[in-house]
Amino acid sequence: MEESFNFSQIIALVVDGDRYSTGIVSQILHGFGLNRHYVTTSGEEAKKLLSAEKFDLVITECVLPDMNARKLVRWVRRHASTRIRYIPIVMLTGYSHLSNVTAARDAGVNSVVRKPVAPATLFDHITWSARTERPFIEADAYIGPCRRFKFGEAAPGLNRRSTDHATDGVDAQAYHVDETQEAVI
Amino acid sequence: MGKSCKVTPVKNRLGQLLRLPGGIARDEAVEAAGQAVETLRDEYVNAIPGEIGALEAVVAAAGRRKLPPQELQAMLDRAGHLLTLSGTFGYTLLDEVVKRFCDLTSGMIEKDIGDVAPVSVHLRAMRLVCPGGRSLEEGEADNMLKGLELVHAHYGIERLQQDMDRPQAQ
Repeated sequence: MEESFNFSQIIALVVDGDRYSTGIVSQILHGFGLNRHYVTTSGEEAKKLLSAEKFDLVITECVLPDMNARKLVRWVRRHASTRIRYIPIVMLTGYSHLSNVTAARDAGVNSVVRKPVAPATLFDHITWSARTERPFIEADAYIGPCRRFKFGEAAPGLNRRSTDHATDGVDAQAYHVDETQEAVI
Repeated sequence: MGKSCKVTPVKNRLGQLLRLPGGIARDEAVEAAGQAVETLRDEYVNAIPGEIGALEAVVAAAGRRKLPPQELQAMLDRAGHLLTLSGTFGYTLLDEVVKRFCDLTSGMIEKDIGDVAPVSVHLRAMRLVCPGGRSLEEGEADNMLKGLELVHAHYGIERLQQDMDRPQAQ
């Protein structure tokens, strides 16, 4: 029997200055049954929302109109409240910002997805993040989910297009991951 | 003295919520999401010519002067919106042209080039292949893309994708 995932109780925050992208991601989340999500275009507004509401997931573009999202991620990962500090973060990156993948990883995101976002890819990243146990690391040079973990199970959907994961081919070596498996941060 | 490193096991709240009774299987969720995105098609595809028009307006306003890096950056950011639309709704050739536009503007910013002509050429190509534009034969499309690559070669500009594919320093 195929595994089911219940998105109905999840509250997500989508941060992106591209109104088309937020529209598309919102529709994708609705399709998953994740109807409780907020959308904002700015990093500062995102901080306010994160402080005011209880979110279970953040999906953010890597470059926001008012700040680089790395700044937002660092703010989240250093927040006094563990409710905010440990939120899973999926970072979206556009074609012209692909070089930011390493920086996003170092800022403490859980995974990186290349835009335009395909439903299967986003589904796989969210569910993969949810089923992968990763302790939280606070070191001098890095704060975020542990990057030295073993893949208990490769993310589903291995037949999807290879270019969907901006991290493909980049992080496999960095994290000593079997390159035949998915290389997701 | 060694560097400090604190390791904290974290309760996987997202996982707990996803595993609540009920829910949706992957294939069903992906299909529903795809259908939900399709409801945006008409509105978003109709917005493509306007997005190109916004880029054309920057060039028109520049006239004969050089495009400063901040204007090129603004155009590059705006082109990202076009890539969202072309990539999501399957306008493959437009997607290729816009990616080359991104390659061009990124390279121009990096090399401090402000020429309007190469930007204009790419915008004309976008207009040609955007929804409602001409339907090009495969050979014509190849020639157009090769022509854009010649412009890049003239300015010594490489593709962003190639930059991404290079091995990263460890």
